[in-house]
Amino acid sequence: MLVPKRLSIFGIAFAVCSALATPAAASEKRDGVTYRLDNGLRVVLQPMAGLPSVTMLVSYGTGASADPPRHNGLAHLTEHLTYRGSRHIGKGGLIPVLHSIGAEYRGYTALQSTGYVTTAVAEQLPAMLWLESERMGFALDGIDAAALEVERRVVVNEVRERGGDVWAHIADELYGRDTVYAEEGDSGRLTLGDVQWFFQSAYRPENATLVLFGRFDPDRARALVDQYFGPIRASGLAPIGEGPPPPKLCGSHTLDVHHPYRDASLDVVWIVPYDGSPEQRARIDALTLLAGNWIRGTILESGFAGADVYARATSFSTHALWSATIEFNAGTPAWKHAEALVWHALTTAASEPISSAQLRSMRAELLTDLALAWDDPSGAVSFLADHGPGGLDAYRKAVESLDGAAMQRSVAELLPQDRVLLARWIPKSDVSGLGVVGRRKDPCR
Amino acid sequence: MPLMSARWLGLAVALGCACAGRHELPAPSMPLVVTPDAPFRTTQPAPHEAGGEAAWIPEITEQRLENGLMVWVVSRPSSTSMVAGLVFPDAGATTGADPTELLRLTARMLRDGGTRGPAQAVSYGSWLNGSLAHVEVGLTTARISIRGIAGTAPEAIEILAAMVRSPVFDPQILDFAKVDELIDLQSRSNTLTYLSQRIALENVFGDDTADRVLGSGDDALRAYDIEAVKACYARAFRPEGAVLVIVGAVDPKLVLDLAAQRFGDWRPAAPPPAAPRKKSKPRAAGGLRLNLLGEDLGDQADLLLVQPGPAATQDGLAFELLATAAAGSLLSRVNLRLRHDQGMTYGVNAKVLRGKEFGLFLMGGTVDVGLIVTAVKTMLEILADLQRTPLDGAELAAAKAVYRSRRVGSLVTNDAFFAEAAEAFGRSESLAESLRTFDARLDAIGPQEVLDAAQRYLRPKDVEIVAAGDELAARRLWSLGPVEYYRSGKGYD
Repeated sequence: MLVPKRLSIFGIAFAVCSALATPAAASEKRDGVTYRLDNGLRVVLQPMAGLPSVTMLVSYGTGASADPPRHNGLAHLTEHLTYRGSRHIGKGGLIPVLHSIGAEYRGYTALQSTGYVTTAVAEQLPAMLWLESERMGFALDGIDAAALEVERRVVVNEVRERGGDVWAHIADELYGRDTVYAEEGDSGRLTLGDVQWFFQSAYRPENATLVLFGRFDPDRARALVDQYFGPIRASGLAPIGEGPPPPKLCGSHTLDVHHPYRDASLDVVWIVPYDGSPEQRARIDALTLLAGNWIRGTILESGFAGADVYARATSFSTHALWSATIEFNAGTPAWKHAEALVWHALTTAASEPISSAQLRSMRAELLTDLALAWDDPSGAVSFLADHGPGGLDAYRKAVESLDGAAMQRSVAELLPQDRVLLARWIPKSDVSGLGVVGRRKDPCR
Repeated sequence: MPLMSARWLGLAVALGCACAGRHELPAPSMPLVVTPDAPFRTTQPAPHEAGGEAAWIPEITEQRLENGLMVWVVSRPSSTSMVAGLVFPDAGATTGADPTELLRLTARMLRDGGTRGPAQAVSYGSWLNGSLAHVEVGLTTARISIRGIAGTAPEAIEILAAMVRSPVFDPQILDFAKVDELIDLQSRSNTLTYLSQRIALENVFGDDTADRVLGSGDDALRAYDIEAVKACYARAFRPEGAVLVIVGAVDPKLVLDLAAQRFGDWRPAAPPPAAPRKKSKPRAAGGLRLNLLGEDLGDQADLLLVQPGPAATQDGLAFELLATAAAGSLLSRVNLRLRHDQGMTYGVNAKVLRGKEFGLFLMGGTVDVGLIVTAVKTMLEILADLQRTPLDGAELAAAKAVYRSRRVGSLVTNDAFFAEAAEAFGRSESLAESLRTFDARLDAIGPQEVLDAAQRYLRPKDVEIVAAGDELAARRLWSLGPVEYYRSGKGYD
């Protein structure tokens, strides 16, 4: 009696949401511009008159995948050190200045990029640009051996704290090296010279994108960007910054990670083609919606009540990782049974016809997600860095032209059972530390 | 021979270079910085005139319906989306007459337990374009909200109205809702943060307060039947004293009219009486207490210092600034000492939780296990110093800048405005008034007010310290005093 009720709830995810609109308001936001400075810096300006603030992203196209052999953690350590000071800001560092202008800020090191996001009231745009130009042009004057020593310890603490991140282990497995958070890497061996070399090779204007999103006058902003960033010169070193090549899956890979107290979870990961276009991004998002809904529904209806299921795609310049994560929340599952449910869900997703009502509701959901992402400045700058201002329209058109049969084909073609990574997060009380790799099977080796 | 030696030497050098080359990176190029300097770079530029008319306080329209339901419309015309939500002040974990689990279960049943449509048809699930309504029971309010694309506010209001005005409370859904709640509870309780807070709350305030803030055990949840849920709904989810908040790209007049139409005649019967809630005593008699939560975290220990703070009903702004100056940012005293100067932590955070009758001040983070005693001593010293010496002007200004950016600087999304509205409502403040007076209230606080707050609330000799770590952490902590050993699921040894 109870199971059908649950099925009806799952069904409603498709049924009720079928009626509504497309993001008309988004059409008012297409007056952005993309251009390059003479030094190669790519600039994206997206004025949003209704916002009180400006959000800025400066993203360098180099991340942890560019760590040289035996220098794992170099990109991450360098990211930290760029807050420590610059020629004109001095050893006090960038953080007091960021606080003095009331900014919210964060830096991150991803596999393929390193980014700095800052949000402040619109009037502080000159100070925001000054700060980031100091980082790009003059940070090496603020980084010394003492700062390196302290920040190395901070990074080690961060990495240990994040040891519970299963994605660090997955990236480690796929890309064949320690990445940002998997282990402490070689942080004990990294020298000031290493950091200086890495900075000169990666923090270069031609390897960077600057995005402004918020309330600003475009002409005034352009003049300020020219003033602060135009004269920045790259070192004479060869640039580094190639993204990670697509990993290879030779069959069914498995990775077990043990943790003392977290709930059991299963990550099912595929490598899917991605060319960086908004059109392909829309198709991958549609795949995420279709396959993710079927996996979620199948898992919840099959004795794993209370499980949380997330599907997502993480994109790089040459490919994307498509994954479904199942957090079981109530004990350790029978793994083979859980995996069989995923295969069953995908087979159904690829074969069960998609009605026109379902297709409409999926389009509406994708456009809603787009509107919500665009409404969050940190999501908007990320989208703009990837696709530019024109990406919004291109994405929307791609969503509106989604074809049910093609979506089903992509489930069958892109998410095969015989080329996949299964990462299992297994609670185990007697392990020391957070996230210890246990058994692994790599058919490529 | 000399030639031979030289050749051998050359080979050795070449091999040495080759081996070293695998381990060493090329040298950086000199000069390190090649960008030409310029006079304009030497000083931080002043703020400029940004143009446009946008202020960080958007237009806020208020209207109270005859049944006591307040409606706030926050108009953000440039937004591509909207959020609509109801905030119930009598359904908060510390404000409701009912236990927290029952409030959570009832809120979940309002969303999942079915609603009756115009033709008496029952439908399940509260979705808008794939976005499921969000329910949350906070310390001072419960919130039910739904997000959607711009233009969907009317649909969102319909969905909310159906949830709170025509709930079916299908008994067949109750078991599923309980399972979901149980799993949520188990999931939450299976974290160091939860366990540390539980230990601290029980010791400082007693079991009842810990149950209110964190929820009690599985048994209480299992015992509720559908009648208990209906009674809780009738007591806590009512129009009088509640607020409907709509934020985003909406037409204020349109949504106000619709709100009046859909909620204006919502007049539930008088609420049934609630059973009196127990009041338990603190476990601890005060003093510095050290609790060790036995977990092998490798080289790190998780540290949490807890003591009472101001309640939601008390003016807590000076205390918030105090907490910010102590450990609320990377510029705070604790983080400057422990992170910036010594690198012994990724960062320590401060948090102020404010319930109806009590408040809680928490400072915590992960630290190198070998330095745990230094970290604890440093944090206690800083608390003591904050009681003795007023903040200097620069430190107070920094704390204000950080606090301001957290509170209003993050008001760039509809979700953030909705959360701010709910917080303001929980403090019995109007959102518009709260935002309008925010800067003036912040400006009015000087070093003396912060010192007063420190002397009134901080208790550096009366702190509950919870450390999660291994035997090594335990041995080190013993140097500070007796350590009580707590095992997850078993309590104190």
